[in-house]
Amino acid sequence: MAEKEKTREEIVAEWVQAEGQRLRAERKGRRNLKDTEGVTINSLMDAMTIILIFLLMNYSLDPIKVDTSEDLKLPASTTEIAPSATASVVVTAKEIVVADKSIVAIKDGTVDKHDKQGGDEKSLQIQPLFDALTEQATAQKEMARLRGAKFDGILTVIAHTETPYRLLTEVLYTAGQAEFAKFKFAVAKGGRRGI
Amino acid sequence: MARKKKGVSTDVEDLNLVPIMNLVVCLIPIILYGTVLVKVGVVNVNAPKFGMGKATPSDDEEKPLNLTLGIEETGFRLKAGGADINQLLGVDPTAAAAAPADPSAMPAPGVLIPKKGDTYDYVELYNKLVVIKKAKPDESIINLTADSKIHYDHIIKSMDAIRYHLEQDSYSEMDAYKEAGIRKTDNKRELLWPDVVFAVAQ
Repeated sequence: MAEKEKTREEIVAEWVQAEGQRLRAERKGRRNLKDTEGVTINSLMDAMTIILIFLLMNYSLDPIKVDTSEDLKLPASTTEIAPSATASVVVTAKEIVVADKSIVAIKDGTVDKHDKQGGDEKSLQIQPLFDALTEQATAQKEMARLRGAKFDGILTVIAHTETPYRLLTEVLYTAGQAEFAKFKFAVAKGGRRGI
Repeated sequence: MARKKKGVSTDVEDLNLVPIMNLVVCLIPIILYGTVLVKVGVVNVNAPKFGMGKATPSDDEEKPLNLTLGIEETGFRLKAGGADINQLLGVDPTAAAAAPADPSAMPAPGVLIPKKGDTYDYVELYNKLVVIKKAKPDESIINLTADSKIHYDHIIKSMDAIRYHLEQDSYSEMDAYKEAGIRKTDNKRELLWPDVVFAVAQ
């Protein structure tokens, strides 16, 4: 009986010892594995943190965002006036865009005469643009009325650097007819005088 | 004791960075969307003067000078409806009339600032506008018009040239003009012709 009890104690002691060794070995192995993982994640974390700070520094709270491309390059200017939240019209090399919708196609810096008022090539009013801007002006007037403010009639014109003056005046004239009375030309900041 | 110390150090190493990584990975595309590498500014332009535009309520006042800057294929042309531009600039009118590039054409009114090679002479434009400003210091409105094919880029550059009064009244070299700072009075930038009004013949 005493032998049996002793054997059980021995068995328990052996089991505890074996278990202890197994756990130690397991812990050691896990620690080695974690060391390797930690190194990878730490360097990745460093890179991510640097990227995050860089992006945060360039984060723009500007109300107007311009996705520059081959068809929409802004001219550089020395101006330091920040843009404000207004209605906007985008004039690229290929189309006129209002509220993210393509309104009229542009070919060789001109709008097709069928898109002009009365189909007249000499007309300054671009009819589909007039309709889109009138819609914008109506929405802005309604918003101003709800806020108890006055409709300011400001339009930001985001135009491609090679837009001809004639097309620009057609856009301004059409906007004027849609009751936009003041204009802001979007430019790329940081230009140098005379270059 | 030694085991205890090991245990403590293991706890520190156990810091799980994966959730932070997940957060950062999610944040980067969100911030990337709002990031712009081109800083956008604006240039203010007054209501255009079109033949029958109905949206010109604040543009009723008739200014006596009525200075107009025309951007032509051959250069800049300055005209003044309410004064003799040649007299303002101290230019001999007979010499000014002989200036047009095309001799067969009728002499156009105003003063032409011809291109220097392929580039517009922004320095001379600035010099002349300073002279006019000194003669008419209360004026700030300038009408801007251009040939139909003139690019938007030239219009913006011209507006940059006429907006502020620089350190000197006159420049002879392009480099000096480019590097010049804006003149300040009472810590405010001194304006030259800031109120640009677009004009077009309909």
